[in-house]
Amino acid sequence: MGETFLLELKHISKYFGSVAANRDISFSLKKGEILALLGENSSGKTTLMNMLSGIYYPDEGQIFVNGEEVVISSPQDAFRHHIGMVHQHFKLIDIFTAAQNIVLGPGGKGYGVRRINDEVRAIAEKYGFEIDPKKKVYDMSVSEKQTVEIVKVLYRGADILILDEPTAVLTPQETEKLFSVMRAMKADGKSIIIITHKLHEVMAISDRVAVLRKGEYIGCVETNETSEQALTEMMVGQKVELNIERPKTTFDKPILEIRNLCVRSDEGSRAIEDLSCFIRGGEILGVAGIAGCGQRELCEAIAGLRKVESGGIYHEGESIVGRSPKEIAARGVAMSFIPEDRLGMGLAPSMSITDNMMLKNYSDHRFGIRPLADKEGDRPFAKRCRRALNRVGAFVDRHCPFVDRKSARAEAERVIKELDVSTPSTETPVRRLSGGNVQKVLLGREILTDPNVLITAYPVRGLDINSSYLIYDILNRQKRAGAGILFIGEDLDVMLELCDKIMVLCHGKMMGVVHADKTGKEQLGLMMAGALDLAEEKGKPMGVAKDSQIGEDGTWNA
Amino acid sequence: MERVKQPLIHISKRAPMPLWKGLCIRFGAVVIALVISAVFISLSSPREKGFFDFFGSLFSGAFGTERRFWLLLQDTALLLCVALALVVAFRMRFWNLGGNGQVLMGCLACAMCMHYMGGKLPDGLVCFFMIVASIAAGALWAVIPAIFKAFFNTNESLFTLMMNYVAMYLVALFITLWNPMGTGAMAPISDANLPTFGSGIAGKTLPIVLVAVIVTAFIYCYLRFSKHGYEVSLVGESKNTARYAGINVKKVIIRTLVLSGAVCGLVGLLLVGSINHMVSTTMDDNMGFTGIMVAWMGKFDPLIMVGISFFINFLSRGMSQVCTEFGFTSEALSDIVVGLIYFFFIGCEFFIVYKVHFNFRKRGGWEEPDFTMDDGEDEPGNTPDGGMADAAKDACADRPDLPADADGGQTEGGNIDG
Repeated sequence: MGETFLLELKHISKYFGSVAANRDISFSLKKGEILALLGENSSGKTTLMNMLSGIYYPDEGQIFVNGEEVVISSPQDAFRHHIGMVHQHFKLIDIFTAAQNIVLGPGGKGYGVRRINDEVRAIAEKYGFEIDPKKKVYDMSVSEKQTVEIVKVLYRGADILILDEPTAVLTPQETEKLFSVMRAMKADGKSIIIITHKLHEVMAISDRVAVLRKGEYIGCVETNETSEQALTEMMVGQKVELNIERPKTTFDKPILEIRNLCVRSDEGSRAIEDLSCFIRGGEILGVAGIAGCGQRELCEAIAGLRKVESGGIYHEGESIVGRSPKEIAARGVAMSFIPEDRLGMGLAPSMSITDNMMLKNYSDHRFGIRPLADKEGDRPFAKRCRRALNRVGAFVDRHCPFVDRKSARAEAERVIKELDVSTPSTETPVRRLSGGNVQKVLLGREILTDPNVLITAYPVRGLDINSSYLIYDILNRQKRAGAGILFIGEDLDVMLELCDKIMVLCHGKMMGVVHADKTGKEQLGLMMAGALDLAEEKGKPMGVAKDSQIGEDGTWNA
Repeated sequence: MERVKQPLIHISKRAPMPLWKGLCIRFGAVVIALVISAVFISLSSPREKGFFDFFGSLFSGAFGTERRFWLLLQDTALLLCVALALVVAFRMRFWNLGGNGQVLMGCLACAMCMHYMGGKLPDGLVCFFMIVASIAAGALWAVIPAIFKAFFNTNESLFTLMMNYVAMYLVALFITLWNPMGTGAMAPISDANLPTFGSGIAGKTLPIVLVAVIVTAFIYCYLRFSKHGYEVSLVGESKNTARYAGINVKKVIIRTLVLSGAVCGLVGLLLVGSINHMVSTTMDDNMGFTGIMVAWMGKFDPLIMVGISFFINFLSRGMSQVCTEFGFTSEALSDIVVGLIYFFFIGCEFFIVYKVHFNFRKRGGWEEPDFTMDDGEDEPGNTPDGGMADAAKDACADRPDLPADADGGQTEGGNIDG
């Protein structure tokens, strides 16, 4: 062996049942380099890294650290070999301070408060972190928590750091800060594996890129010898057009208007504060904001699932506050919310696709009993009998106790065909489908009802590139058909291309609405962080349409 | 140099296996359990009994005479009805542990009708009141916790569990009222017995079996084909999704528990009005809890549950015969053996879901075997809907060797990807 690698994987495989999460993966990591592990969702990136950090144990293959074979069967083993992982979901204890969280765990060197604080500060200074060792975790922002996680790993003496999608929860500015820290760590001789599926970040930070596709290792390239387009092709396995269409439509009247909306979260704090906005028919309004800024509460309030504390929501000029979810849906407001676990709102995970299709209309099924028609020249008694019979028939019909799986199955088949859902059958439980297909089923059902307002939150969360583009296409089709779309998204690049306007939320407050073609990531990032408040700056209330359908007294003045 | 140490046992998840294979494994588990029991029993028996006598006694206890066969059917029917009542609530993830209490209340209501009206009103009329009162009493006992759950989100498991004791002491109270001698037992009431088909054991049991068949068919259709059944599953899946579908969650909870309690009350009616003609505090025969096992082992499917409740009653009847013939005076031994069989039967689910690899390759030795468990929830995909699989998962999710920070999120429903 000419060159000794710091870390080497040889023929690693991991199976979950019949599914190969990783198949025969071999790659290596040099000392002092940043390796980006790139792949679409479900391509096995996290599984692979979990095997390095001792969460999973590989079914086949060997791991070498500094040229020697090692067995990593627990996180302690991983630390013994100086491998540390920062997980996507933080594993911190909320009521402890940063320092306390950092010293927790195996290989602790005692708990002297002052010494720990000093050590933490020393690490922070060395790499340029900003950290307050005495701050409690529950007081921290997401990026501060992430800093604690990274320092924790460094404190335990890791030489190989694995960062699992660290930028997913950060604003563009915070991401830049993280990257400078990563460069400082690299200069100090640490090796970093960063998992991501954002291409421009890969180009910005990494030295080399390893690409996984469907659990298989595709190859490794030097970052400065490749391009975003080439990487995408490696990732997807075919040529992909990377442009999102933004069709021009004639904007209609405001179809959904929200005025001074206040909503509380489950914990009782204000999740949405004094928010006003409107959506016109034929436009896509994007909602940007870091995770947990009231997006969920906003969706739930519109769909009628959450109590509105004050303010109004008007659909076609009529208030829908206090209406039941069913009534709101009947007006043509459809919601598809993809939560972090991708199942949950709007879907019943262990039910079949068919059963999920009839979620909104199962109660409308009737026997189909037709009333008997009156005949000419009947005696009055016969007429009365027939009328009574008809009344009984209508009653029975209205109270039909059965569900109609047959037409639901037909709908399921239609959605499967039109949106290209890959599933063994219509009777497969939804949670057995892969993420993308779950989303297609959910979105497909909502579109089946021809909504005039479509609320969609994170519709491409966890989707591969092809499926994402298919979803954008579906949304654009709805837009052309004149529906107003509220698009709550994560990826600013996508939103800038797809949406007509973007509203930025910061801790439930609206920071302003901007035209997507007249703004940039910088501005959005500042607004997301709360540093720039356009609503305040311009000194006029934003989010109120000039041609509002709501009158002063809240009634419709068409 | 550090020695490379392979974990001795390595567990990974299986692909879903075909039905026949799963059935073979389950059948094999029962056979193994029976063989072990047979060895254990025949060795410890004070009498001169051999290995094969065990099986003879087991089957003769269950099917030996016409009477035994009909009693087996009767017990199966009753247990099945209770389990079906529970499964309706369980489908909604409402853990109704109050089957005993609901059955007892049905018994009590029936006995009250017989005691106070018997002989004074025509038998037919009393029977009508008995039916209505028993069903209503069972439903009442289930609906009280349901109302609290629906409106105040109280813990239904504790609530229904506690209601069992209230019911038991109510029965005790009425027995002392009716029998002031203080023996704690009640003389059978001869008036107003439910109709039978003739006087033989078959004629007496047949109506009960018939009721069980009707209840099974009804519950099966209710859960499978009705709007109500759909709502029940939806509320169980996610209350938020159910509300999004326009369901009144409170109403569904209450309605479902009325049904659940009513079926339990019906069992109480059969117990008193058709079988015993009197009431005692142990009349429920703990079916409320055995029924839970039937429901879980039957994977909440009414049709599988028929087989399971038959199997459970076969074992308990067969084992008591074994104990008599082998000369054991204590019932404890029978319980141990039945427990052993359950252990194998439930334990084999683990091997249906997971594959176990042994690493006997000597590479640096394995003096300290390291029990690495791959927790099974890696993939939301393959988990069958069985509770037993969950139980097995719980058993192996417990990894004492992991620090708190590394476990949590990754193991809980983490996906393959990032």
